[in-house]
Amino acid sequence: MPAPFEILGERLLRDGVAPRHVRAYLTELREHLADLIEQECAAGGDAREALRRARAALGDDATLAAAMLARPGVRSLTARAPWLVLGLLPPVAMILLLVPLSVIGSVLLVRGQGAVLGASAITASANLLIIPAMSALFALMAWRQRLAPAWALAGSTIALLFFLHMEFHLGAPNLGAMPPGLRLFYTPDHHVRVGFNMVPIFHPRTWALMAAQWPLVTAQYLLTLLPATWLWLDRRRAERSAA
Amino acid sequence: MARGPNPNFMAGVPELVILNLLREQEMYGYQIVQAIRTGSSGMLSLAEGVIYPVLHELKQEGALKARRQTVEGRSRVYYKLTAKGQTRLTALTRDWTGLTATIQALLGGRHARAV
Repeated sequence: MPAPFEILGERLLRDGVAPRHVRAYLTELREHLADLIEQECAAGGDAREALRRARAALGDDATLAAAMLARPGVRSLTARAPWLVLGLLPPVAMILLLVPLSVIGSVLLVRGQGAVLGASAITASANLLIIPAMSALFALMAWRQRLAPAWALAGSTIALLFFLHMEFHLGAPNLGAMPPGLRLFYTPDHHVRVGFNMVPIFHPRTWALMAAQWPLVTAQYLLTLLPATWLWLDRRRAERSAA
Repeated sequence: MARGPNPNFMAGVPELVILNLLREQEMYGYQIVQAIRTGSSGMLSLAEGVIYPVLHELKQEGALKARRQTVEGRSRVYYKLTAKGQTRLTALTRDWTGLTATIQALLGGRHARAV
């Protein structure tokens, strides 16, 4: 048997109410229900009748949902504009996540050759983990807000299309030989270059990189698409069990 | 069965009533509903749960502040009026007083013609 107001909560999430508002609403409704049951029991009703009366006083699910949905301020930004959050956020989030790692990698490098291994490990794990982690975040957002799995897939695909790739090089940067794309470089002693490239997948440079590092890139792509695929399968399973 | 007030005339009333109740003391949802029921002698009857979206919106707008407190083993969310809420209450009270005065005047005029 579902917990009180679980069906109401599901409906509100599907209609775009932000999860934090749904959580707060359901918590207060449950507390209010407990107060009403206590009041009914004190008046001499048996427990089952007290629950029935308390639930009726609180309002049916349709009334409670309509009251919440009448307030436009409670709808989440992701539900109102999924194209903005899951379409435009990926490149911005990638930059925000990779900048601190680039700085850490550069600091390790300028401290000496012994730290090259550490910088390499950071770079490889960042390439392997960051975009898949972001994709998992999109899937989690879509799951929490009951969005169509296609939105999570769209966010992950956009991240892959932009193909952000972190690199480091020893030696002075040769700006004339830079590949196209958005780059940030940290060159504290003019001997070390650490940065990341954001090169669209359709650029020849990306294809060369993919060919050279195909095991890493393949793993990155598979891990990135995994969360959205899981979400899609989970939604299908839920739909089948509901039917 | 008693007829409730016409919903068309209820726009803004829940906000006004809630802000007014919280003017003097902080209260939690159940207390607010009980106070409305007692204060209006049952005239303002509503599904009790619908008060929470109003409270959440007023809080989001900065008219109310909320804090969670455990009292006698029960966790409650207490709502309190803010300075912004006080300003809102003043404006809503002025609007409502103006509206009721206008309606009274209209009803009085019609009554006088009928006599």
